[in-house]
Amino acid sequence: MAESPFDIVIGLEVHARLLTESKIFCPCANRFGEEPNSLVCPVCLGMPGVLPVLNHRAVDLAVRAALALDGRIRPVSVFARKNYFYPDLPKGYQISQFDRPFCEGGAVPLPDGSKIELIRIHLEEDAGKLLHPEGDDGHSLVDLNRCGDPLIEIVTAPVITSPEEAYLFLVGLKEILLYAGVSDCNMEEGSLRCDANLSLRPRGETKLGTKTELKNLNSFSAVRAALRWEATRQERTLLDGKKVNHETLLWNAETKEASPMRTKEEAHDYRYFPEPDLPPLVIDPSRIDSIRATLPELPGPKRERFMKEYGVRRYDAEVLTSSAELADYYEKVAARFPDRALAAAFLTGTFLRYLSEDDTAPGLAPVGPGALARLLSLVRDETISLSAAKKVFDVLWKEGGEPAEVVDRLALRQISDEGEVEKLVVSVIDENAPQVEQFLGGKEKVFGFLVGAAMKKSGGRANPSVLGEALRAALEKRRGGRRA
Amino acid sequence: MDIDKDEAKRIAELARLGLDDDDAKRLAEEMAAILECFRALREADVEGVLPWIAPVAGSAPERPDIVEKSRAGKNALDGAPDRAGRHFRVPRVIG
Repeated sequence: MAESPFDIVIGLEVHARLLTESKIFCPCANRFGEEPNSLVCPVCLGMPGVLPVLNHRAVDLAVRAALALDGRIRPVSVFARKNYFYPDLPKGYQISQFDRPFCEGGAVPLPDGSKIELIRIHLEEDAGKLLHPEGDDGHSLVDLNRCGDPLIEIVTAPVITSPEEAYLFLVGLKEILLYAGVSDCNMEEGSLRCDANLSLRPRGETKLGTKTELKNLNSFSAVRAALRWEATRQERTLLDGKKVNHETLLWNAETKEASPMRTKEEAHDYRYFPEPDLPPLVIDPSRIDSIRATLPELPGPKRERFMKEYGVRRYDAEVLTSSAELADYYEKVAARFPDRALAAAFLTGTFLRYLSEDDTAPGLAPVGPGALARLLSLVRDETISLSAAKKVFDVLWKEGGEPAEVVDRLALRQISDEGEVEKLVVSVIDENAPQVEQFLGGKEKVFGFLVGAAMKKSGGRANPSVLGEALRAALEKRRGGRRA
Repeated sequence: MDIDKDEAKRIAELARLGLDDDDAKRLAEEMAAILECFRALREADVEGVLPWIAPVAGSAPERPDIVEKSRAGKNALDGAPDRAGRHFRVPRVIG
């Protein structure tokens, strides 16, 4: 849509499930994947006469998220009932926050240095989960285990200008929530969910156009794909002289298309009113201060520090700080090993590949930062080549052991001794007489072939620079001998 | 706001109640009478008075984040009109 006459306006609503042990208003476990309807009690089943009691940790985590996102904590916030009838909501209302949420404002920084402003963050309870099994038309199945799980809902201002920017926002938001330790952000388990709305307006116009809402976005790339699709659809509609209808669309990740949600719940009139069963939530400044004091360094500042302190490139800094655990691992290696660029390159390449192949976390990696630092030291002092280091790393990862011992066991020690290299060069020159002739005849390219042959003969162990110099010296000597 | 028969029916629909015309007419009148009482309250001068949220002062009490297992975890489905395995089975809402 490079030449589109329209500007795109996107707003996102993100729900994140908080990492508590128990639900927000009752002591049932906040856990995914249990037997359906086993984590329930009279409170979350919506039995008459029960009363909600707020989970202390849920408030702490919500405040923590708000501080990490640079929001303003409202000293007194109010829970409200959002009324609607749906089978996933046994009480007939969801306890949420409406006109007085616990946090206002906030922002998520993007890699280019800009920021996406937030309108608000509020606390609420999750609803249950509905299944619509095929072959049982006309019925749905209800699991209320999730009902009452603690959520924060993060709402952006309508300031996102492209599907790509929406994607970057989500990546940045997830990083911050993970760093702050408030949510595991696991989208497959529904710990992070995103709804999006999008509208177009003629370029330069300030009034917002009619928006549509997109639901069923199960991954960040689905959010981006759905927004691209919807922007194109709205543009065609408007260029055809038609109007965009205000409606909710369901994204289908398989067909890569969205279709209007057909629902009997046409009237969205939630009739919010203050929750009579819960007094206002008063958050004391001292509580905010003590939570702030335990916040870790966040991804943005850490990234800047990595570039300054370790001299790593921006891209490497972004990869290394993409998780707090990986960043910690890098810092432990860097504390023991002076070549920070080599450490960064090895971590962002080989190390990350092994992590993802084994689907494990840096903290659980079989090769610890100490062993990796000792391995890289062997590369730095030219005991082994970088490609030998990768072989050693593979052994350390799969079998464990000490880098230097593995180097000896696999006989990977680099040959740097000039006498030894010279012997190697002499035998390669003897064995490849036609190629040597070609080189002496002016075919410079053959030099590479001869280096390769010598390297092969050494089992890959020859020190490349020592070998290169020795070979060139020997060949030039011959050339000189001929001229004489 | 005046409540007429249509408004009464709309409100009933939000609450998933079926009303016939007679019920709707009667309830519209009753609701209008209730709103009339609130209209009287509107005459009070509330300039500078904060909205009243809860009958008790202080913050919402908070409980420690500790899991307790409820017996309901076993027998939640016992009273269900319809079930399929460990799930409640309900009429489908999304078409």
